[in-house]
Amino acid sequence: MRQLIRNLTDATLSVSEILSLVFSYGSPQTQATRACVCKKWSEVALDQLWRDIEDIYPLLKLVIPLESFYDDYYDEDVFKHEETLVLLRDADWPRFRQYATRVKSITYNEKAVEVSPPSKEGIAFICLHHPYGNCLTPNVRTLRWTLSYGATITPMIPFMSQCMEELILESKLETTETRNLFLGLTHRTPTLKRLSIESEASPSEISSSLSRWISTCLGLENAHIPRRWQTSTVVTAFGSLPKLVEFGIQWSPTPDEYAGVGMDMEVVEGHFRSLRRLGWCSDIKEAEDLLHQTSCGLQGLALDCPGEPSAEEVAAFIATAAHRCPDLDSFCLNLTNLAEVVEPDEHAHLQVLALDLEVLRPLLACKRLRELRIHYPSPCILSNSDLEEMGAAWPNMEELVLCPDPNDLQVEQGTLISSLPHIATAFPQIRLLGLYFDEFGPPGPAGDLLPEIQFKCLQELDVGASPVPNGDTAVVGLYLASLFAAGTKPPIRAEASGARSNYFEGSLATEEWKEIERWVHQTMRVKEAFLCRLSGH
Amino acid sequence: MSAAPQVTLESSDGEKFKVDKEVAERSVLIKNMIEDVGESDNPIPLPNVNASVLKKVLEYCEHHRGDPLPAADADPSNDDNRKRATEISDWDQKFIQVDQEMLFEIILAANYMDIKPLLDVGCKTVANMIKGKTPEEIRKLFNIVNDFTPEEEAQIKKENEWAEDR
Repeated sequence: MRQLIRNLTDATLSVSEILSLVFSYGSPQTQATRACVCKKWSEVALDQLWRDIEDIYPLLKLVIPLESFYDDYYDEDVFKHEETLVLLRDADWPRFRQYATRVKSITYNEKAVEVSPPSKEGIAFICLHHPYGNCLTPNVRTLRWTLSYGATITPMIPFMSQCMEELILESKLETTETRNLFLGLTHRTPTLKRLSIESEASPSEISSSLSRWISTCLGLENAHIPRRWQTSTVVTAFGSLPKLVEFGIQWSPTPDEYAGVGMDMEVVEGHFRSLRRLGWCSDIKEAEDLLHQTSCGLQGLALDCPGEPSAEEVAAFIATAAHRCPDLDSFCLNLTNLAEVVEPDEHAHLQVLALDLEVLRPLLACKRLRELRIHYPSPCILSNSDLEEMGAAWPNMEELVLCPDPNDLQVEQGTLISSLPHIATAFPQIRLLGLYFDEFGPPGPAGDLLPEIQFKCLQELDVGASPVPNGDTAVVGLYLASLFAAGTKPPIRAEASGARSNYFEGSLATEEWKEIERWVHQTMRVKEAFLCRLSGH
Repeated sequence: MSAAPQVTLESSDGEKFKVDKEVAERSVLIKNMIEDVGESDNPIPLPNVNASVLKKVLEYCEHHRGDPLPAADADPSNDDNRKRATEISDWDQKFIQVDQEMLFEIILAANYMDIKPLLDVGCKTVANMIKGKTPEEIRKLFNIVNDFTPEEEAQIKKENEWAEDR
């Protein structure tokens, strides 16, 4: 019998697919234990353990007595490293290689490492002297790298892998170091498909090095860069890429970002041949012109608008977007940076268009729309019949966020909270809903915990700067709980975005909404327990 | 209403099982066979699965007959799927409470018959059996011979000790 089990175990665990599948479950600690069991297990467990690593040091430790890096004097005594490194035994490199080739993705956050990083020279030395060509981790496809100020491990990035497909950089590097990084990357990322960079480096000083690097990434399909970096040099470089499908900017709500102008989104003829999704920052009039220049195939638009567009300009832009891009499935317009937040009494002179269905009407022609976000400084008022019309036009709508941040808190109008059942009916697939709710609208009846109409897939309710309707947290909480399907637990977000986030601080009804959220979650538990008992009988 | 279409499966030891086609088709192997051969009254031979195991496997298929079929291209090594929970639903948990011999037979059968969710349940169970054990305990549990020298084992342990606190 024992022999039988043994044969069976052998038979089962020697099928390498089965062993891999068994090993796909388990913590890193478990993998490390499995690696010690026998040679066969070791191979499979180490593949799993080293596939996606979150620290680069275990790797470096294989070849360098890293303690020397943590030496207090490391930056004064660079040559000490070189001496150490020269002493590296040849035998260390094959061991390093054995692990390094298993790594497929690295997520590295420099801030999370508490030890001092190795010196720049030390890293450069490793990169230049290791005996396996140019790549430290030759199979890495994804690199997510958060760089802190004065990071010294950066020079390593270009030496990591030449089959990188995804690079996500979140960088606080100085401009010069950023530029050096781009120079180092030039010609070294031929297979890159997705790129995302967050950085505060000055656009004028990195534009040419970034452009040079980008022009060597011919397979790039998806790129997001800081908005200030969309200078004409950079845009031209991205525009010449044959496969670029998505080109966008990183969202950054701080308005002073606009101080340094570098935004120059212009489309040269014949450029952006494959583009389907565009995110950019521009004056609304210029943005409209741009839409006339680009081909009609755009499916995603995200415009960040720093100027002070008039009501007519906003309406005209929306109309042009809908007309030029009939296949639109995602439309995002950020207007909350609209100048300074005005004091209520100064408000009168600012002509602000109320966001209602009339403004959105041209978009009703875009039947594929599944994401619509308009951050606009006036409340959005939608009647129940408006909602019905929108629901009929956009059967796939999943994310609908309409102006959670009006320009001042004196606003007395918004969408009635009692409209929620109409929204649930109109948009059965809604996952994210953001609206400004009317302060005085009566909440719907909260007596029925299991009404016929419920939100089946809602994952988040964003109320922006809305006041609590009628100021009654318990009633609103019960009402919302009745509308959420059992098993769902959408968090409620109440915060202003964009320029208004500071202005609203302290005056927002955030605490009250938190209380409502607690009401909702408690009531949901009761509701679920009740349903459970129902199904038990 | 006509009765649901049925198929006959034949285990390695010659026992025949008549089951609803929908149930048998939880197995991608059988589904493909039916598609290739067309429907016939001849039993479908499963030479790698004996009657007691097949009975157990069919019990699983019967319980999960209505489940949505897993996507064909779901790759277990895929990033999204990788850090999967080792939780097993209550019914599956009870179902898989069998001796070690049967557990491995089920895994082999699920692999052969290509029933991905059942294979997952089996592999999760084995993974749970290993959890928290030392290498020596694992070797004992599965009768595995340690082919490392003590030095090699110490080396591997040292090189991977960073994973201990994760």
